[in-house]
Amino acid sequence: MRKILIIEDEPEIRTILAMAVENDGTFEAVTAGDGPEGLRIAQSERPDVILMDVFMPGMDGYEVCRRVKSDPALQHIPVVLLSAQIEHKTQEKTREAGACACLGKPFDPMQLADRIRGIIDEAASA
Amino acid sequence: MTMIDPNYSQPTIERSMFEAVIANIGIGVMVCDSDGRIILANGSAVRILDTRSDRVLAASMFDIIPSPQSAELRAAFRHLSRTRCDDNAFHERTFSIGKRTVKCATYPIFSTDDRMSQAVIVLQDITHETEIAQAKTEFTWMVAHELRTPLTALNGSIGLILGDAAGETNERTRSLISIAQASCDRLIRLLDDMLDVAQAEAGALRLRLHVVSLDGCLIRALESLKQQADEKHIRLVTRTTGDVPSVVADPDRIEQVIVNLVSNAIKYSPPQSSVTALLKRVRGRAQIRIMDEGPSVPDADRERIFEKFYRGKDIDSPERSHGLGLAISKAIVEQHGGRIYVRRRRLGGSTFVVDLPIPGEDELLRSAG
Repeated sequence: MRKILIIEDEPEIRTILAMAVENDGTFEAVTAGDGPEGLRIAQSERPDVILMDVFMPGMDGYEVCRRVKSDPALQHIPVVLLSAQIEHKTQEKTREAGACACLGKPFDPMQLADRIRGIIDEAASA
Repeated sequence: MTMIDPNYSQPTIERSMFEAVIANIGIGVMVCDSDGRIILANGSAVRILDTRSDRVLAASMFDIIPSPQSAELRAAFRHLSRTRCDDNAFHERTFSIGKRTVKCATYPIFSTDDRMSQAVIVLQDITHETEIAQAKTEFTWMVAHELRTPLTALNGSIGLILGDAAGETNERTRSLISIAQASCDRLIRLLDDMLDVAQAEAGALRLRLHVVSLDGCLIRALESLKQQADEKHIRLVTRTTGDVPSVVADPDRIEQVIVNLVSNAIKYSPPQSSVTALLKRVRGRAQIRIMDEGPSVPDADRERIFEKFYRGKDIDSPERSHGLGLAISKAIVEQHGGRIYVRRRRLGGSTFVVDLPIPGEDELLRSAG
């Protein structure tokens, strides 16, 4: 089973994300409520993939992603972002931060695990 | 149309009235000859252009308007001067002049040989309106983001229950949860549309411009509506008359406009009727016409149906809609420099017309590159 770290400041959405990705048995979720906690858990748990919100108080998702990508111990971990505001520059900022993709909110919870699998498989083969 | 009481219709009185009106209106008005030399400018134009009146008269309009806007205006002027007499010929753009935001519309005056002899340039200082629109857009973005968070939780919970992620549900529960999901989907669509309208009104709708073949947009849009048409036994017909040139446009947005118009046409048409989409070149512009056989849009509603949330008193809506589709379509078309309007069909039904400018070769090359 692959380990997925979910970093999301909204507790309700964190719960739904964890249930959605664990639903088909491929992922086991560990969660964090903000960027700094997410970075600590990433160090201790070494997840296979990180799924995180972009807009979080304090440290936003782009910044957390940049820190993951600049850490030699974590930089191999694929990062998928989630945002309620997909705008013109979102894809550019996503690429610049080093993330694989940015998914929009709201999302279809029954297809989320599939989408993340597709994104990380594509990133691995690239 | 200007109307003058015949008792006062004498050249000297008319001239005095004309001068008084032009001098005192708050809108900038200039008249240029076909080379762009300014032959008339009122006080508002001088104020908006932030210059002095003695610098305006006899100067070239392209020297008075700062670059790079003047280059665009020069190209528009060239295009208009090649146009034969046409009531619809005009060019409109919003420019920044210093700290001001100015809407600049150019209308050609045609002489008896159908050629442009002069042009009227109307300048409107819309700085204040633009600032308000900007603040409104920022507010809408903030509200939309705040609403998306609870909607994401709602949508996610409903999706997990319907997907049996929380255990099996009985038929009655599923039916109730499906109603909640449909309502949630409606709210999400409404939110997306509100954001589109707010952005478009602020002129902030991001367009990804490419050289676009309109028939490709039409085919894709109609394909996505095939099921809706089949369910109502409505035939979707496409027709192209002559060579419809490519336009410079955002293909996704043009497709969105066609989907809105055809989807409305299907909703308002009686079963077993046809909805026809026609592509046509009309007086140097590309037109998309969507024709239905439903009730005609009443004359009183023809302008207002493009307003947000407007519902005509005599328009029976057979299906629920939030009344933003036409407002979004109008905003998208106008941001492409085009026009959208509706006409009554002679034998019943309505024709919605999207009229888009055809770019010159320079613009096509730039957009293709």
